[in-house]
Amino acid sequence: MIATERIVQTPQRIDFHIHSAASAKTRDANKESLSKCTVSNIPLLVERLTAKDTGVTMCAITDHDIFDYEMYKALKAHEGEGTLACVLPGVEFTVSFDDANSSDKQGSPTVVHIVVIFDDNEEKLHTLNGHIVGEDGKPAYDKGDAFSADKFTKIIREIELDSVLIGHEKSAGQEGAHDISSLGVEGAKEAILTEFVDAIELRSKHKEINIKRLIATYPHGGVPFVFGTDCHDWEQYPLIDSTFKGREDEVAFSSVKCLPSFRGLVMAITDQSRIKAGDCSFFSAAKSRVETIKLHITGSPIEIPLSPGINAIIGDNSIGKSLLAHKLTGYAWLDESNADDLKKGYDAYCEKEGFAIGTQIPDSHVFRFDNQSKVRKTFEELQDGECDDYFEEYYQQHVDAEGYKSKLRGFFRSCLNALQKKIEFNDYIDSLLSIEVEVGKAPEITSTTITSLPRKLNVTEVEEVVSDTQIEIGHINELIETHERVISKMDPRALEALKNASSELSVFLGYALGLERARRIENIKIEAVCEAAKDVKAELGAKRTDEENQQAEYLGQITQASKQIAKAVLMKAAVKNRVFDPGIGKVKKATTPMRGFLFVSELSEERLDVELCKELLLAAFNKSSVDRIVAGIEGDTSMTSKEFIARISNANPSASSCFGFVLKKIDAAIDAKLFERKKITNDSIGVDSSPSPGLYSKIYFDLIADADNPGIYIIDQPEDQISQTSIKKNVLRAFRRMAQQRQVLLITHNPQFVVNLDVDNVIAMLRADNGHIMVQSGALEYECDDYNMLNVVAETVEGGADVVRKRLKRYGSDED
Amino acid sequence: MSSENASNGTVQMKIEMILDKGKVKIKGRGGFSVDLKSPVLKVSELYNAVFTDITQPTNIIVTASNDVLQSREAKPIFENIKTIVDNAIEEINSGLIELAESENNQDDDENEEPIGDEVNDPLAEFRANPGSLLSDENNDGA
Repeated sequence: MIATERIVQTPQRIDFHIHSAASAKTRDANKESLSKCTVSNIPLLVERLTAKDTGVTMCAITDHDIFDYEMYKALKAHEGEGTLACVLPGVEFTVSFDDANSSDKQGSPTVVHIVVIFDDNEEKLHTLNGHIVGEDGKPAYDKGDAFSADKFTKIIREIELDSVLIGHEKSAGQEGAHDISSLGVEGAKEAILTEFVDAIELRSKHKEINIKRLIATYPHGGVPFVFGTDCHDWEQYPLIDSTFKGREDEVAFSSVKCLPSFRGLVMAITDQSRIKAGDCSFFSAAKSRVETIKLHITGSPIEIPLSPGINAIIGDNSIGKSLLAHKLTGYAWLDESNADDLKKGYDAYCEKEGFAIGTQIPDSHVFRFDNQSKVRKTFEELQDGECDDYFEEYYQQHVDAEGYKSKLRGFFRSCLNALQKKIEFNDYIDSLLSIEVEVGKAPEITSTTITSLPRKLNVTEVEEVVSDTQIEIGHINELIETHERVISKMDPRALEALKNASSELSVFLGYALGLERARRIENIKIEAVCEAAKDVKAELGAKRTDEENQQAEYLGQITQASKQIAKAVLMKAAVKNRVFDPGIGKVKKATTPMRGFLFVSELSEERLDVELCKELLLAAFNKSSVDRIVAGIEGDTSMTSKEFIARISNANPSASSCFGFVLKKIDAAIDAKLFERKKITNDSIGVDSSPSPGLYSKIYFDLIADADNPGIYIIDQPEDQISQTSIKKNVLRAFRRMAQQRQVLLITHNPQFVVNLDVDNVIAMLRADNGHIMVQSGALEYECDDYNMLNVVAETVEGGADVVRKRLKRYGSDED
Repeated sequence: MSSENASNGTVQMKIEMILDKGKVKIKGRGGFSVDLKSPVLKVSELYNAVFTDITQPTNIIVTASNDVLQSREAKPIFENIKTIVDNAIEEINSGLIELAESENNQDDDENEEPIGDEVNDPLAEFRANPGSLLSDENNDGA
């Protein structure tokens, strides 16, 4: 059967274990209920299969050791009725295994039931039963009431139909009769590991604890588990029969992500992520998705359905895969550096090919678009300790790069300051060698000079005495007048005394006035002399003699010598040695643990020590000079500025600017050498080690997969920069998780990203025979009259055939 | 020349100028002399003879022998050298005190904050992913 839908929109609900009346002919003769499971009652089965609460979409009647072709055809005729989309042919074989390792069987044969689902290749189906039964119409058992393992294998091979083998496990790990687990733990594992069975079938109704115990019995990841009803009474379907005890609504079905076809089943069986227990969704219900891509190629409209999961765009180089992605996003995610050129190129190509894209993904629907160069750049940046903007937000703590740089700059300033003081002192002492001072008898001055002038006499103080005396005389006179009546009553000598006092003060006043007058006259003379002397002094100053100049010079050199000596002493006192060690040592890293990773912000240098500082000195000095410079910083040195300048490499700054020059060079070296570096690691790698390139790709895609931001993820060739091993080991799982959260558009040339990733939709852009672009799309299992998608992948993607072959092994061996 | 520490921490130093073979010299210290006939003092010689070891405030007493004081040529040389030494040491002493004070201040300034602690962005985690701290590890779901 060929599926009409190109991609999986809803999961299949399967039941590959339904018995019919044919089973009564072989093993279940005693089950009366089977007698009603006849061709004529197929409508009843269909009704039950497609009932509202059942809704089976894929099924098979698998009778014990017999294939009833008519029964199969009768049911097959109902395909498309209700939910029933695909009916596959099948048989439940009874197989006897020798020497099972089960301890309680003591080497006796163990019989198990294996449900085999065949490809519905009509040509070979009508002869299928002939390989199982003998001429008498009974199963051609070769080992009691069972087929030997060899006979069973031979029958399967001779039927020449692709098949899926499902081991029956109705007792859910309790080693019930005919269960795979009855082979014993080792035997069951062997059956799976040797791929003798492709899946284990559990009966639809089981206690969950038993199922978990059973699953734990088998090799991890070795086998998918599916539910089957093992129904022996169609009237009771989906129950096994009328003896069923329990609640009907507890019957479980498996949800399978595949197209309703044998090939779809094969693809699901070969990727366990496609099979889930119960009613499950395989895709996110995100609204930010695109349903279809509408194209016009040379005028013909084409509509490509897109899966809500992973859509892989494959095709030849330069066919237009990247163009398609960029056109869909309106060129919003092109690299700015060459966006204009790319746009022009893309537009010209579309024009030339008659290729037009009618779908536009709004920018708000895009979570992230990693174009080809961006993926490469992101990994390179991660390797180099730089950080893509996307990851920046994960670094909540940062190494204090500026703090460390500032400390180092301060250290070098301090070191060079110490050396500078020593060098300046040495230079100064050198300059003193040539300075000589005359210390003999000072030159004598013989010419006339005005050394001092008379000062004017104080008249004011005398005026005050005169004034006070006049007031006192006035007071006495006033006393006599005011108190005349009283005084007249006194002894006449009282009035006489007052008059005498006034008279004496008048005499005193005469002396005071005399002094005042004399001083005024003297001051007039002094003023005249000073006025005259001022002119003379100016005249003498203008005519300063050589003797005076010689004496001034002489005294000046004595003073200068004192200052020079003082300066030398003070310069020496200011000299200090500096240990050439910044005292920082190991740099602390800043680590933010998030989502199982450690986001490490570290300095580009792990240690800021003497060796690094010597290296930084090389930014300014010759290699041979570094030790001499360090010695000069740490201890006594005879270095002068001349030597210092000579040791500077490739420059010859002046003495006044040489230290500034050196500091500038070292500052630049610090900036170039010390910077924040970011890396992503985890506990097992540790913060001091760096992940391998492969692990970086895992980290990158894990983070993308776990991101909560909604929207479509578009990535152009994720395989760049990642080894095949790393893709298989690290990256595919992340993409699978991603597909559960968001729609993914993936452009790739790598078959692993198509077949092993088990993408939900393949869009192959190919060149048709007429030279035009053509697009073929569909799920991996999709096949139609024009193409089958696995073949397209095998032929289009380099190495694709190998990967398809490895995945399908026995199933695809007869494919062309 | 002799020196000793005074109780106040000031170093006491005495130098005596003497007359030797027509030259004024400092007793006990070679490398310095001023010729009476050509009374020229080399500053570097005086520095080396008297000042090279001075690192803290010092009181220098400059004296002269009788023959210096009684010589018409030697006496002014002595007086000038004394002036140079006296003025120099005055400037040196005040300079050393200033230097000591500035060094003390510098020591205080050098008590910096330690570096190397992470620079935290308190809002970064929230900005990075508001729900991240609550989310479980994703499983494969198969």
